[in-house]
Amino acid sequence: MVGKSFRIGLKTGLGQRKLVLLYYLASLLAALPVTLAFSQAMGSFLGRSLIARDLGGHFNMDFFFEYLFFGKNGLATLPFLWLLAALVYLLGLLLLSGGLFAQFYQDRPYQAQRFWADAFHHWGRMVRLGLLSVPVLLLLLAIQFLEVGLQRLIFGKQPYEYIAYWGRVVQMVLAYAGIWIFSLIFDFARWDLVANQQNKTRYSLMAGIRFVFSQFSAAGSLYALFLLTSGLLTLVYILISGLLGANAVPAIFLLILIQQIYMWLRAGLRVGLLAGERELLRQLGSN
Amino acid sequence: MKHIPSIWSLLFMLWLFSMGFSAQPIFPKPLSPRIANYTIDVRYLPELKMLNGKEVLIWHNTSKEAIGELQFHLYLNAFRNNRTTFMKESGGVHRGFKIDEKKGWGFIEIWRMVWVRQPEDVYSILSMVTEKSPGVTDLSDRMEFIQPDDGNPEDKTVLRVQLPKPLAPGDSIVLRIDFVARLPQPPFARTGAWKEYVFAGQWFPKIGVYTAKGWNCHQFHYNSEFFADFGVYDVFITVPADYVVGATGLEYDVQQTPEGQARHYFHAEDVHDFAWTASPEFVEFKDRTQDVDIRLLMQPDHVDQAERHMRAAKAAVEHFQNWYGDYPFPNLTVVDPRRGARGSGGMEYPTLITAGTAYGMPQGLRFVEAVIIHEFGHQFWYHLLASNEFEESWLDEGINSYTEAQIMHDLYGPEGDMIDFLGLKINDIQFQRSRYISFADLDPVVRPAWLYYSGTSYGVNSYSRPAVLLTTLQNYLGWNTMLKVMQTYVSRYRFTHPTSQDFIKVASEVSGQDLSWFFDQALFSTRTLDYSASYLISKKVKKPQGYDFTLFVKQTLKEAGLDTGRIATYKQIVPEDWSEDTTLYYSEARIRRKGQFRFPVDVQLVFSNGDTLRDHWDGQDPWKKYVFIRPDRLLEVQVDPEQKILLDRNWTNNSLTLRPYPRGILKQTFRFLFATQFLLDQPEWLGLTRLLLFSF
Ligand SMILES: [Zn+2]
Repeated sequence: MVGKSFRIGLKTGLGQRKLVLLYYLASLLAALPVTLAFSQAMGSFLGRSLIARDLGGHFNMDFFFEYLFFGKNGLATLPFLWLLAALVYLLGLLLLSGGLFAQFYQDRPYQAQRFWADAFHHWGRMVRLGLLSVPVLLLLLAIQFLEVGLQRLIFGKQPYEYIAYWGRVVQMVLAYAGIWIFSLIFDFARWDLVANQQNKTRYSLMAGIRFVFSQFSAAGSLYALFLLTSGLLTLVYILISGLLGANAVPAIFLLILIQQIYMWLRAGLRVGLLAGERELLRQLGSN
Repeated sequence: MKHIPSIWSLLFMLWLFSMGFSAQPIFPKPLSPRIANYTIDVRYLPELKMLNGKEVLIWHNTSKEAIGELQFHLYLNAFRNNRTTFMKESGGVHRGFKIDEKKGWGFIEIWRMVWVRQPEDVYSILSMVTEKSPGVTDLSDRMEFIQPDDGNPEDKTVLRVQLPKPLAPGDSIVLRIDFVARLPQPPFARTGAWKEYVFAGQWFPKIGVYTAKGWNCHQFHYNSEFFADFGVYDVFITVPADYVVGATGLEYDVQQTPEGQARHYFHAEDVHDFAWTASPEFVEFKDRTQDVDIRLLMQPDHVDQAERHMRAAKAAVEHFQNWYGDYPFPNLTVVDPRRGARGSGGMEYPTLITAGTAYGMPQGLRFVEAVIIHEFGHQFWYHLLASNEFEESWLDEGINSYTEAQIMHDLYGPEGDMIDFLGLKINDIQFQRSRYISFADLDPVVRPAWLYYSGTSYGVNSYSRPAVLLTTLQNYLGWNTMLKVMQTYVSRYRFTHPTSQDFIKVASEVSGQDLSWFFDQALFSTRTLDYSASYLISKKVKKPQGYDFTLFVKQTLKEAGLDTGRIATYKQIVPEDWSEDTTLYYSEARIRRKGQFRFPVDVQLVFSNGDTLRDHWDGQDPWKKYVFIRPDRLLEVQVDPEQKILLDRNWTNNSLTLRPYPRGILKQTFRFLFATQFLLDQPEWLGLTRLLLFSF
């Protein structure tokens, strides 16, 4: 059941090119303003210097420190633009999800007008659902602090560093588990939202929580499979990009291409996960 | 009037030199003027974190004056309350560690000081009941706190004792000093105790240095280290029997006391300080390299890094002995501070240093290695060459930061000698330079430690800027000459108190050139150095119009009226087969000295046919101009192409190219884009940075 959902999800993710494109563009467009500001600032600091040529190869730490100090005025707006990018991306994803969830739920092919109509139709509710689920996220993130309490109970206030170290590893695993469980809850809450045209988003949130905990092994396994795939993809990216360090125009263009292909595939996995979840819902007969 | 020592004082001196030596001597002949000699019997009270000590100080007046008073450092009083000079200056925070304001305070109290006029042997003096002994003058009533640096009446870190009768030149004084001290908890500013661990530094009443200008005995400041005279130390440390003890010098003996404790006897010669540490938790490792025994005292949670510590310690010993000179002491102890007691880490005492690490520290983060190499370096730059850290901190910390960077580079270079982790590579000297460029012009390097603009400025001018300026000097003189400078400085001034002028003298003498122009700017001014390439054009020379064109090109440019003064330099190459059909380019490049610091520099000019011209500019004028009329274009100009002048704060502006090279900007832009996309998509990856934070 999970295997089949994974396969179908993966196939859909790679097949629905227009949806993938939309998700890919969302991250690209959100990241663009801050990137342009950075590029502009760095370009004006570098000017026609030889460093501008050398940076086509490895990054130069002397330059980095000089830039941090002498170019700090140009960098001042970056944190703000980053926050803006995150906000735009978040709202963008919520917008897209209205269209996508509706399309997948009704087993329709992509059709632009319909997609955007659904997207805007559900947008407000999606945002509300998002805000409403923040406490759930915080609660799940707080699970990691159980480890802190337990550690203090068993080992006291200042245990040996290896205990503290591995304790923090456990904390981190718990934090990640919290984030992943939250993603699942949020996904299945959204399935409920589009399925029932739910206006009371808290009911969807409850439905999402109920579903994830009642079908934890299936939903969790599916999510883990996609996580694993994403990890493998990242590993492959790291291996390939490591080969493209040369300071030569073809290598640079190839690197840029590989980076964007990676982001495209990431978008594909995102769409694929949702398709897989849809398939899982179908198989569990709760469509 | 010249003082002639009496026969009695000569006999007395003879006796004094004999009485310190009940222990087997380490060195057949004294290596230093043994001016300040201590025998201390100290008992550690683990529950109270207190020290109960009896000290016999034998001090020689080697000056040409009769001395009417003595001055002592009582360093632990810096932590007495929040109104001491140290606490006011530091705000209670030292190197990121905060003093525990509830119960962390420390102090030292001398409850009796007597002058032993008719000394017997040291051990009888230690055991005598002072108030009943004959030939003893009680000085306790004559003690008073003074504040020579800032007049802060709440500061009790300097004690003055008026002598009832001045101490004649060549005479010696024997004092018995009884004291109690409480150590800061947890350790703060290098010293203290925490749980079962104790690190005692700056823990006993310590006499100042009598110089040609009188007593040099500064208060304990936030931004300052120490200054002391050499001597012999015999120290008996009584701690619980299960404690492992490490200390300056060699352990000669350990005896069980009737109370079931252990009394450890350490003996050190020709050192100017003494520190010790004890803990029942220490795990001991031993090894040897060259003629030095190395002993590691590791915390149980760091034993997996013992190998790392040992390798670094051996490398430090070997590099220093191979490069700079003999380490005369037979041993070195490296102490790993306890968790929660890192305030005692990263510090140096004669033959005893403290490091500091964290469980899980990745191999590529070589902070442990750097700190061990650094602290061992102090065995040379402070313990052999006992400069005044209060007044010229760079002589210790600065030279030491320079040698640390050189050794790190030799061991782990050429790239990423300090950090080589997840693709990030940073060299030690790059770190130093990054700090230097940000705070280059607030203070001169040489200045009393507590008078800098800020703690950061003290740090930059005592550590980073000297490392950068000495590396610049090394590139200027060449490695071999610089090495000879360092070796001569070590061999000439070991076991003395060298000054900045001594270093400058050696550098000039060994290099065979007067280097005062360099040191005046580098050490005694706030001048900054920044060369830049400011202008570059290359354009076609117009088709001949008007009068006799050939004449113009074949003339020297000076004759053509283009020379605007002595500042400009023109070079032109007109090929033999030049004809009116040859396309010629007029190229002009200008370079500037933007800072006030003048330093000779190489300039490189590259032409489109591959020709490369090198020029050497003395950097005296504010700018220099290059003009060429050649059949090829001038493509790039670069000041200091080998980046030899680390003092140049901005290397990015050192070059100009005719055409822009967008590919570097393109690559970094897309890397930035990718990183942003990636983190937008998977912000949870940021959580992984917590793994790294474990190390700190
Ligand atoms: Zn140091």
